[in-house]
Amino acid sequence: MSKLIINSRTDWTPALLERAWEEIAIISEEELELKPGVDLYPNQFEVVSAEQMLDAYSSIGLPVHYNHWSFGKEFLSNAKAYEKGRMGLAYEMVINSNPCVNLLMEENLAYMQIMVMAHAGVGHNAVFANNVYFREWTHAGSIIDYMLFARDYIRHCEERYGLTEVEQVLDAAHSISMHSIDKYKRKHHPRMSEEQRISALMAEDDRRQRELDIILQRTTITQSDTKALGVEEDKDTFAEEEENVLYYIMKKSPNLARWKREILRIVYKVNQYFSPQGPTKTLNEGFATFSHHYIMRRLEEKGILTSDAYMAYLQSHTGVIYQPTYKSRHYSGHNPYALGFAVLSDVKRICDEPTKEDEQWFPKLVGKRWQDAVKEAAFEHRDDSFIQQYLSPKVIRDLHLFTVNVKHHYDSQYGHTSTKGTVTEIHDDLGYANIRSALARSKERINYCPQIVVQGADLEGDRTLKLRFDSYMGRTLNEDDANQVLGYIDNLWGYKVQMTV
Amino acid sequence: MSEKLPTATYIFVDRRKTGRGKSLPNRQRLLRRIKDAIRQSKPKDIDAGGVKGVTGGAGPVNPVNVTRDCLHEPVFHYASSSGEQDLVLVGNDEWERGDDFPLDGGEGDGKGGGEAGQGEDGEDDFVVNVSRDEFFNVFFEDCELPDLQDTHEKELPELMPKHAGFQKEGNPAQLSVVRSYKQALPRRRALTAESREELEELEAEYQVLALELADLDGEDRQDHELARIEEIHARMTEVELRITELREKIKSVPFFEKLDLRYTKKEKVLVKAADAVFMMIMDISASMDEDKKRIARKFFSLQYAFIKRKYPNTDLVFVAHTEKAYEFTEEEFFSTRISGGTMVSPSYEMLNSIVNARYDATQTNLYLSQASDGDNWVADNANIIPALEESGLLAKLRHMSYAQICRGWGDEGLWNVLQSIANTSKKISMVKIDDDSGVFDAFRQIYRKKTST
Repeated sequence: MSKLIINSRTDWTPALLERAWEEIAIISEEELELKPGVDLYPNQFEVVSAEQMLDAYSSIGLPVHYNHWSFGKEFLSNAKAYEKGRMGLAYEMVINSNPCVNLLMEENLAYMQIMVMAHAGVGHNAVFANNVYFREWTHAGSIIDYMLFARDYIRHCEERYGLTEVEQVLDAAHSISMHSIDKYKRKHHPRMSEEQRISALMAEDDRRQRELDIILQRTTITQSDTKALGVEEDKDTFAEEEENVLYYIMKKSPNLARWKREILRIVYKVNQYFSPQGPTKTLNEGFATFSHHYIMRRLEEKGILTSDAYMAYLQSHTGVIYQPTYKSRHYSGHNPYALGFAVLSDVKRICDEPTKEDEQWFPKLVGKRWQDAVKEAAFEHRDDSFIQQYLSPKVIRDLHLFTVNVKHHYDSQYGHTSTKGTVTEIHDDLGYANIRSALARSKERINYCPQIVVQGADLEGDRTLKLRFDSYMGRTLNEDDANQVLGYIDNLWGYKVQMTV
Repeated sequence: MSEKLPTATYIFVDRRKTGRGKSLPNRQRLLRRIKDAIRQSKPKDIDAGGVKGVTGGAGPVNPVNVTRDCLHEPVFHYASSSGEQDLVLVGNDEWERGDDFPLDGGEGDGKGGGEAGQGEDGEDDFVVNVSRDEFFNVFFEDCELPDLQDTHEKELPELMPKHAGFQKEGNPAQLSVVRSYKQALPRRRALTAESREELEELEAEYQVLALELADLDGEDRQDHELARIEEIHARMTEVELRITELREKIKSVPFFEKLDLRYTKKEKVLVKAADAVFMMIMDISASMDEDKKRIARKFFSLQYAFIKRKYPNTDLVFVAHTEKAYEFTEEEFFSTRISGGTMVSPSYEMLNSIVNARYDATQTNLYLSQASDGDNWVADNANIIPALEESGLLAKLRHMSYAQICRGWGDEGLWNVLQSIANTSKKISMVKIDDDSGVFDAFRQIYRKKTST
């Protein structure tokens, strides 16, 4: 067989992609020390059209999803942007499933497809399979089967109870889906071998199909049914202050119909599945970018990518890690690809070529094998601890990071809000530690999701549901939206709902 | 593509032929939601500009923010300017500790912490623009004139294909090249902008080089000139190469993508509509104050728009009354300032003679819609049954609606008389309108299609 050589204009063919993947797999195994099939889930590469990519966008990447108008809204706004040329489509889409599903868009040239396979098929795949939060919170092996069940069940409810009824439950559930996170981990599920997994799934499929039939006939589900549906059994006792609002309502709402409860459970499950993605965005994109860049460079060194293909790749790569400064009108916070890539690349540099400064800041990294250090950073953390532990003074200097304290002051006498910004830290010796902590803190959930707790419900008395909003840094809730959400909660609860702010 | 055993570490699948249009059910649900919201909506400006406002123009329905509201997905999120935040920003170029940092530009405001909270930004950028026509089409979609009968029994209703815009699916024969081209243009522009810019620059450079080369051409050239010629040749080859490359790159952006294609759409339209006459009686007596008159006009405007759009061949008859009945033109009807006492029965008498003079009642669908505050002269209430029922007018009508416009119950005399007829005749719909928004409920109550279930 002739040597595989890819230049910037080479079109992809199925055979070429397979050979390219074999080459990627060698580098992944030998140099990144991630063995496909062992340290990575098996990859399923799917070639799709642009329109199918838009489809995938709108169902937040899941290949199967229940139907809801909001996904149609997502599709149309993406399609509009794409048609107007305002947006290129992302090069990749990857699903945290086993096998790991990677979408490849048909119009990409060969070198782009290779970059995507390295980025998603190695990088994201490795994070899904190894990161402690993904392993603890998601079941890559069963998500697609669960979504098949969810889609069929909701379709069935639509037929039986009407589109509007179902839509109302989903609207309400979506409005509090951010508040469906369990504070404490569920029982840890060890990974099964592939064979075990497949036979377990098949058995479960059979059982689920039977159970589904039963549900479809009876319309109501009993407790034992939900158990048989493969839904881990739920705690019935609640913390004194419960943060999982959706779950609480699902379990305790006095008169909620069974099928509505089941829909809440579906939304809870889907959200649970996605819950690690937000808090690991930076390290996940960082590791994927680190992986693709490493692999692409090695492919060029091995002569598989010609230098013009590598130049063309670098153009895409620099686009991916472009970080506008605060003055730019394109600025919208940190680009997680750029930040994660910068941090991980610097971890490798510190292992390989430490400076005096690094010895002082990262004594444990100096002299460590970079493969071990980079993987530990990407697999054992969430973004907040990842940044707290690995953001180096060099990266802070490179990015010219600085912190600004913003205070909004509401003047009740004049009825307007004044805002004051003060620069608090800059990228110098005194500032590094504080900038690092501030950036780590900003990745904490409380910054983008207000804390709402269930204080309890007077189930013996008038059944009022009591919620409380805990202000953080003096921030208040947007009232219009809060009232609308409370209206939704009202519908689900069926009795009075009170929220103290 | 080859399928490997499940134990392999990878597998390639070509999905392009299968699994298309996955989001179709979602888009259908989206449309359904928008349509529902439109049907439920109570636009404020329905009578703005009177009759012209509801019939003319394709401008957007404003300020009907129907779609915006119905597509909003609320979540708990922080008010944008409250409390305190520590932003970590990128690209310090001038700041020292303790500097005041200006925030009025909005840069970094609320975004410095990385991902903006869900529902904080962007979510509502997506607005479906509904034109006035689209709006009314949906609004009237499930409404109809009750009991409309085909009066052209001998002629079969005919369906004719009519041009009805463009669609994304279709057979090749229907492909509209011009429309597809328009659709593709912005996408191709955006995707090739950089390359085209560079191409133009290089082409210009090439020309300049060629000119310079021509200048240098000749005999007795000195060494440095020869060197320059060499240099120019080298650069020109380089530029040529790059130009070819760029041209190819531009070419490689697909001229049409599946998404761009538009096909002409034909719709079958019923050309033969039944003949119908829609008659309106509006009370303009002194007891109808400005508010009530506005509400009445709104009620008739809505019906007017409904008839004009759905039953374009329908004749309209406008009657207004004080203690006397007047037949008006459209314009007079919606703008008259006449005022006086109240007698209802002369209007029925007038309509009866209009019908007898102008229409063949057996061949025509006759409709009557009346609005009043119910404050009829007491003695005239005794004339209602003779003028409406005994005269044979009611029998000729397919349907009649009576809307009483007043807060609370108002005068019940006229209402009671009409109600007594309605009790035995299914032809009469009785509705009450309290305020502006009640107009829409009343309209739907009267004209909502009756499902046969």
